[in-house]
Amino acid sequence: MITPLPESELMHREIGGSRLAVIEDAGHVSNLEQPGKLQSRANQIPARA
Amino acid sequence: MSKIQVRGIEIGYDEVGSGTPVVLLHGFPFNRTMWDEQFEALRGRHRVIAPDLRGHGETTATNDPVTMEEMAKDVAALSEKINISRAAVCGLSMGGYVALALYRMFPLRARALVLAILARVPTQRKLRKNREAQAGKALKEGMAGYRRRHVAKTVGAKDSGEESRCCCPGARDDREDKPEGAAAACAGWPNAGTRLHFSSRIVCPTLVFSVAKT
Repeated sequence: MITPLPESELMHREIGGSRLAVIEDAGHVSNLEQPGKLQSRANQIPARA
Repeated sequence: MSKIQVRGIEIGYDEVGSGTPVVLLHGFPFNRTMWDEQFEALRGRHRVIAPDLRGHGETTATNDPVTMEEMAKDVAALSEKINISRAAVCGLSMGGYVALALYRMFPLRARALVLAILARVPTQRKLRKNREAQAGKALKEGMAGYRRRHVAKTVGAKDSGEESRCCCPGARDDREDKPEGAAAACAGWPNAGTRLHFSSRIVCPTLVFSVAKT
């Protein structure tokens, strides 16, 4: 339940064109633990929508 | 904080900024305040909306099992009411299942998806048992105590400063948090397992967020 990386990799493979970002040293509530890392990774996503 | 009536309940939500809308869906057993940092980071460029999901924070708790689909319908109704036709929908854990349910039912409402920390769903039987236990703990301990223990158990950072900071979000509105709402979400949870048969049909831009312990 806590670090579902294999699950995320599977979702990433299944969702065509998706991106996968992995934050290290974080647990289930990563946005509380590592807000800076999460935001900098999110900012790298191009606005192609 | 704003409040709005939709689908027979009152939804508490925060909204700020202008630009492409971003909807942030919180995890269990938290409320919208878990997004405080992201809210601040996004407000300069986006219209950011963070609702309390049904039974959480300042949104009405209902007694029947609350499924991810039910919460997704609430979010869609809220969006409709505040004139958001399409948004980037970002959900963490339970909020991620809600984002998936939203996409499944109303695909045109999602401009993009961020699916953060969606854990593997065990068998229905295991999941039901696990969720029943969680509901019991929430009802017994109250939301503040339950949440503290939950965070202590799931946190990944080794840094104790980060860890203690983690306990703060979600506690701000504790008076408004309702253990019975958390229990209702637990009761509706076992339907979340359908997502794996579905993710291959997602066609909007999607970011999958995950974590790893080093």
